[in-house]
Amino acid sequence: MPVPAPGPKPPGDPAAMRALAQTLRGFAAPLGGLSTVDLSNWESPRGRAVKADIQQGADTAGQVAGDLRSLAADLVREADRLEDDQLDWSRRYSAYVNQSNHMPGGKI
Amino acid sequence: MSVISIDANQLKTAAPRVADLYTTLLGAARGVGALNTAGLPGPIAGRAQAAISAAAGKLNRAAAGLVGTSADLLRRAGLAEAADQISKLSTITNAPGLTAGLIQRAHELGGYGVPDNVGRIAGSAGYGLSVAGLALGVGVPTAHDLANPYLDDDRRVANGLARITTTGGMMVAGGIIIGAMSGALLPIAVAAGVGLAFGVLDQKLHITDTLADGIDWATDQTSAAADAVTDGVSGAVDAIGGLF
Repeated sequence: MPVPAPGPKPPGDPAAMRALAQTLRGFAAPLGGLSTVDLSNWESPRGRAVKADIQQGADTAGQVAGDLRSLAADLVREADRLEDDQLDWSRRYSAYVNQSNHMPGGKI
Repeated sequence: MSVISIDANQLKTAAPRVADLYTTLLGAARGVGALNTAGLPGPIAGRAQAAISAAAGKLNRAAAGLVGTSADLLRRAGLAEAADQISKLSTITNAPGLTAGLIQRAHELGGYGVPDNVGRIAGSAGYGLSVAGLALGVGVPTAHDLANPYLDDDRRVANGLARITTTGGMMVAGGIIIGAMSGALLPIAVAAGVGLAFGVLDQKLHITDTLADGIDWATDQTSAAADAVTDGVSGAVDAIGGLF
């Protein structure tokens, strides 16, 4: 029974994806580890405005840290899946080429 | 009139942490924004690029909200300490002993954006008043709108200040007492008009030296002037309080 053509290799670079995920975690770490700023004794309209800006900054840091970690996890998951797909494609490609060369499967 | 509280130590502690927050946000914004999604397959590349751009945008906006905040906190901490020193000037008999401390504060405040000419006045016990007036004057764009009728001579300036500052006198006095007791935590009563008026007086008319003379005058046991200058001190504390 002839082995069907494997089609194009699944595009992408799992190693680059994992490296990007690692970089994202590197940016997330300091954003998620900032110390708190206590200005509880500063009560005035200006004080409240400044504290709101600081809180906004801290909240954003925490939120973006979570977003970056989440994206990093997605990238690793996708990299794993892509790697499996590319390995599977390599097996099918090998079988297809070996068949064309009349060689036993798995020789390439 | 409203009462605000100023904690110089807390402001000093917060300043480097806010600087750290700002630096971290800005650094992450730049780093994340420069990330390369090459090597990612189509669907995940689009998703990743969108998430990265969104993250960089959020970080940039958050950092923009904190530009200059750390330096501002340090400046306010310095002013809060100056207010504490000024409040102690209200005990006129202690003025000579406080002068050295005020000069030191003038030097320190030089690094917090207080105008250079503060140093010129630091040799007098009226320095604290000038800090308040100058500091406030810098931030009062509508100064020229206020006309003051108490300009003809030293006595009239001092009396004018007395009238202006009396509006918040009792609350200010309470703030001074509490501030003197607790040291770091200095509640200050703020009468906005009072601080504004004092700032305008100093900015436009350079009355600091006059006030210094007034303090000397007070120490000469001229009771009316002593009252006026004491109220002037309260006005200075008001003026600093107005910055918060």
